[in-house]
Amino acid sequence: MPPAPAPSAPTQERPIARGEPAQPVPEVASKTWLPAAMGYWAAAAGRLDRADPGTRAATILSLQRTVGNAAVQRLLTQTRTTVPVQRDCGCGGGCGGCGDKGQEEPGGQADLPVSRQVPPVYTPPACVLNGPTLVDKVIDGFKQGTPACLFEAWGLLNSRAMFDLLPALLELKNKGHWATVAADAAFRGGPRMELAVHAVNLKTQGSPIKTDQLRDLIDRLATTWADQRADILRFIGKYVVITVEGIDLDFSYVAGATSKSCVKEVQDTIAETKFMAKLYADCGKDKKHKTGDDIEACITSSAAKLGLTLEVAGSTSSTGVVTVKAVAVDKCQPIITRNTEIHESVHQHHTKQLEKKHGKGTPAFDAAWNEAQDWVRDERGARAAEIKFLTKVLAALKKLEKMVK
Amino acid sequence: MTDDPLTVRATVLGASVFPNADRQRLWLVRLRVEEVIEGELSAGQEELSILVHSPSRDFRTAEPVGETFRITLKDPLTDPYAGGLKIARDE
Repeated sequence: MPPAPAPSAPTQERPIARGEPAQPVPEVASKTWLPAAMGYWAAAAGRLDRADPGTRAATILSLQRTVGNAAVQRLLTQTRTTVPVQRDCGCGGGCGGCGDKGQEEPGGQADLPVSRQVPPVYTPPACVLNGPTLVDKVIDGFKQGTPACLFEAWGLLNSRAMFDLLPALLELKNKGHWATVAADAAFRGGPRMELAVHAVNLKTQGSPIKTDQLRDLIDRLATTWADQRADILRFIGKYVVITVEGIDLDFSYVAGATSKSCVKEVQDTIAETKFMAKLYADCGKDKKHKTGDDIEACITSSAAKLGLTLEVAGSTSSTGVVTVKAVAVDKCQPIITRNTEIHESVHQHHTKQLEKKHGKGTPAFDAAWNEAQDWVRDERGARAAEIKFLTKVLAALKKLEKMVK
Repeated sequence: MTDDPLTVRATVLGASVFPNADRQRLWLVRLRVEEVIEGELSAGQEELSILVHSPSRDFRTAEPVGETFRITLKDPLTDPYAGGLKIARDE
């Protein structure tokens, strides 16, 4: 009988995870400021250092869930260990009047310019986890049970890639620590951890995964990156894949219990592509168009006549910055992204041909590149490649759909 | 910063698909600004991101990454920039 997991009451004042215990902490020795490339993160870390403990803990937890614990630990360690000590007066401070006292006056640093302030020094981890493997360390954290140790333990789990996390969770379940994991997954791990816990539950349910369970899982996978979807499907033995021109299509693209299959979105994209190809063909027929710019102007105006606006303006944020937002990760986006890459490969191939024929950057190249009919042919060729790819995708999705049933 | 056109010498750092509502411009190109030739750029801003239809076609070269161009951003800056562009080789 394994030991009962220690209670893990949520707290708003969790201590901060520090560097991983196994890694030695370098001495404060460098006299150079942080490399420019680390400037942004250093600033972020600096803000963290000045933040109140609650904000600081929440921010670090959020970063661990997104960029991973390893990166967060590197950041925190670097910002604490590469800081320079640039002081002028004999007492070691840059303050006036400290010479007699031999030490800096309280609050003196606040009077210094930001560039001369010394960030807090590194302090040891609040909890050291022991054990030869990651899972052993996590179990040790669960056993110690303090908020600091639980934070460290979950930080280790959160830092793992999906393909690494799933077997670690399975091992925790097999070693009798599932109650702790399941109870805290959402709070200390977030949606990705919840998804992984669900996958482990499916794998260990002791009976084959039923169709409705698979459909439910497909819904849960919809907002996850494609590689992590594949990791989960592979882990539960449901990774059936059809590769189409460089993209692996699997069950995550078919209909879920509530989410639609990507068939409709692919069909819509084919229709849109055919429409654009026709617009280019029509604009190409007008011989008064001599250049690529003429063709693009014709496309924009033809679309406008049909009530379509091709260009999308950005939206203004509360800070006044106009931002063009990326589309959120969704179920079918990997297919559309691959489609865009295929479109570009046609343009790139054609550009290479022109470079080979006329010489890169020569006047003859520029003339050929900007010639209206060539422009139209290139664009229609790119659209044709899209349609060919998307048609294959449709066929693959229909095959996969039949296999789920 | 003003809304006047901005012309810079900039080096292409990378290009990747950036799914957004503008289906004609789905590529995000990151640029390192080498020199501001005309107009104003926020102090300390060393990089720009622009949306283009095709990296190879818009930059007139099959492999634009690593090359430097003279780029005019005709409309007010957005993040990433999605307005009118004029791209010429850095002669």
